[in-house]
Amino acid sequence: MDEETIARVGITLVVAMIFATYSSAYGPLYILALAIFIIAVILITILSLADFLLFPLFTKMLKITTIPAKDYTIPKENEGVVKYVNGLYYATGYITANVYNYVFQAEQMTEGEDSEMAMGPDKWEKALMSIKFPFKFVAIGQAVDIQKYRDDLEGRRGYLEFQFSRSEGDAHTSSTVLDDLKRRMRVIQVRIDRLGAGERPLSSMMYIETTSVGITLNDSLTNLTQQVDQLQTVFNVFDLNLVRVVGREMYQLYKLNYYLPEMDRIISDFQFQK
Amino acid sequence: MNKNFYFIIFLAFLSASFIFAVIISILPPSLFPLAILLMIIGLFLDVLAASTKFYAYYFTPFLKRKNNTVVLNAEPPFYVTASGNAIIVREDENVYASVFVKIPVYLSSTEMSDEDKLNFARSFSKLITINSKYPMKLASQLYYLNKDEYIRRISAKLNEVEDRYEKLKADKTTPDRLLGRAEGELAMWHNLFDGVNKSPSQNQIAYTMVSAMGANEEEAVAIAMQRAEEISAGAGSIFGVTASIASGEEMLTFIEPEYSIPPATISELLKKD
Repeated sequence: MDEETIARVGITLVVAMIFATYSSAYGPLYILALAIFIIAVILITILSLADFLLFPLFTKMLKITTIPAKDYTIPKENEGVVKYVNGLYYATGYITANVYNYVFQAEQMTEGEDSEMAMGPDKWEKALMSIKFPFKFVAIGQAVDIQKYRDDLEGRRGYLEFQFSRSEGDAHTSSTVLDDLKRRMRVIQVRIDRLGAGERPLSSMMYIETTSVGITLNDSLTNLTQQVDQLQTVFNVFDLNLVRVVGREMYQLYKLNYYLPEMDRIISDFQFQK
Repeated sequence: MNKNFYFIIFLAFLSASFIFAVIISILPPSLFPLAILLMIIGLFLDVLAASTKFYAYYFTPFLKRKNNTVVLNAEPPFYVTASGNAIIVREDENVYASVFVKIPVYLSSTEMSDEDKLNFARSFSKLITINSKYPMKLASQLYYLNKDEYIRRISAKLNEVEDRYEKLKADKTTPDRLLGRAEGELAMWHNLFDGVNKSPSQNQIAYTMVSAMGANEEEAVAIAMQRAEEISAGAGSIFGVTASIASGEEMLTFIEPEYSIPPATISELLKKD
C-alpha cells in the first residue's frame, strides 16, 4: 500500500472516530450509532485495502452494466470486458501472473534461481502447446534509477547493521533474531553485488489476458471462465499466484491495451490484485 | 478529469463529513434522533471520501446512469493514425500515442542448451530494463490466424480442379492415366480443404508497446515513434532479429479481440463446441 492510500485511510478513519466520540448525543440509540460506526469503518477499510471484494458486489446488487468505451460492456459480475461486433460477443478476462518476483523486489533470494530461469523456456513451450485459444502474457516494466536504488539499499543495510550491533550487545536477544538480521543483511548485500555486476532493478507488473467468443453474452462469459480456469491450471507449473482479476483493476488492465501511463500510476492502480 | 480534481472531491466529502460531526457535537441531547440521522449522512460522506482514491472517475457517470447502465466513455477506445502505425487515446486533456514493435523470435527450447535457455530467459529481463524513462509493455500473444484468404484460394483451386475433372470424365476419349491423375489431384485439394477447416490455426508472436503523451496528436506520435525505434534497435541487438513497427491489421491483432479470433475461425470453433 502506498503512502497516499495510508494517509487517506488514516484521515477518513479519524473522521469516523469523531462521530463515535459523541456517544452522549445519540442518547438511547447509542448501540445503533455504534453499529453504524462499525459498518462505516469496515466499508472504509475494504474500499481502501480490498476494493475488488466490494465493487463487483455493488454492481451485481444494483445490476449495473458499465460501458467503458463504444461497443464494449462490462457486465454486472465485473469479471470480463465484452465487445459486441459482427453479431458476436468477444469476452476478455485477466489473471494475475507475476512470473517471478524480480530478484530486486523479492524479500528473499531463492536458491537455484538460475536453474529455475533456465527451465522457463521449456515450461513456456509446454504451456503453449496445451492451450488452444487466444491469450497474451503481458509484462509491463520500467528500469529503476540504479543510483537511487543503490542508495536505498545501502541505507537499509546500514540500518540493519546498526540493529545487529545493538542486538548483539543485548544479552536478552535470541539467536533467531540475530540469524534473521544476518540473513536480511546478506540478501541486501547480494542485491548490491548484482547491481555491481550490471543487472538493473525493475519495477514491473505481469498478467495474462485471454479472449473467448460466443453467440450470446452469457455464452462468451461462460467460455471465458473455462479459458481462465484452463490457464490457471496450465500456468501452475510456473509456481505463480494466478488470481482472476475483477472489478476496477480489470477495467484498468483493459485500458492498458491502448496506452501506458507513468509506471508509478500503473503500480499505484494495482495494489491489491497482483 | 485529473488527479487534482479527484483530490478536491476527496477533500469536499471529508469536509462535509467533518461539518456533520461538528453539528452533532453542538446538538442538545434531546435531539438524539436527528443526531443519528446526521451521523448516518456524515459517515456516508466519509465512506464516499475513502472511495475517491479509486472510484472518483465513476461518480459522475454513476449519477448520470440510465437503465442501470453507467457510460464511462461513449467514444471508441482509440483511433488509428492516418499513417496506420500508431493509435491515439485521449484521456482528459492528455493525448497518448502508442506504437507496437513486433519481435519475430523463432527459437524453440528444444534447440537450446541449458546455458542458451538461461540466456534466453535473461534476454527478456534485459529488454524490459532497456530504459528507465518510460514504461514498456512486452507481450507474447497466441492468436488464431485469419485463414479467410487462404481458404478462398484453396476453395477456388478446388472448384477449378473439380471442373477440369468433370470435363475430363465427360469426355470419353480421355485416357485413363489423365483421368486418374485429375482424380488424385481432386482428392488432394479436397483433403487440404477439409484439413484447413477442421481446426483453427494458431500463431504466436512477441511484441512490445510503448506510449508517449503529447500536447497534440503529432507530438505524441513523434515521441512514441522515437521510443519505438529505440526499443526496436534494442530488441534487435538482444535477440539478434529484425524487430519492426507493426501497422494496419497486424497492429490491430494486438489490440482488438475480433482480430485475434477472426470471423473465419468462428464457425470452426462453434462446430467444435
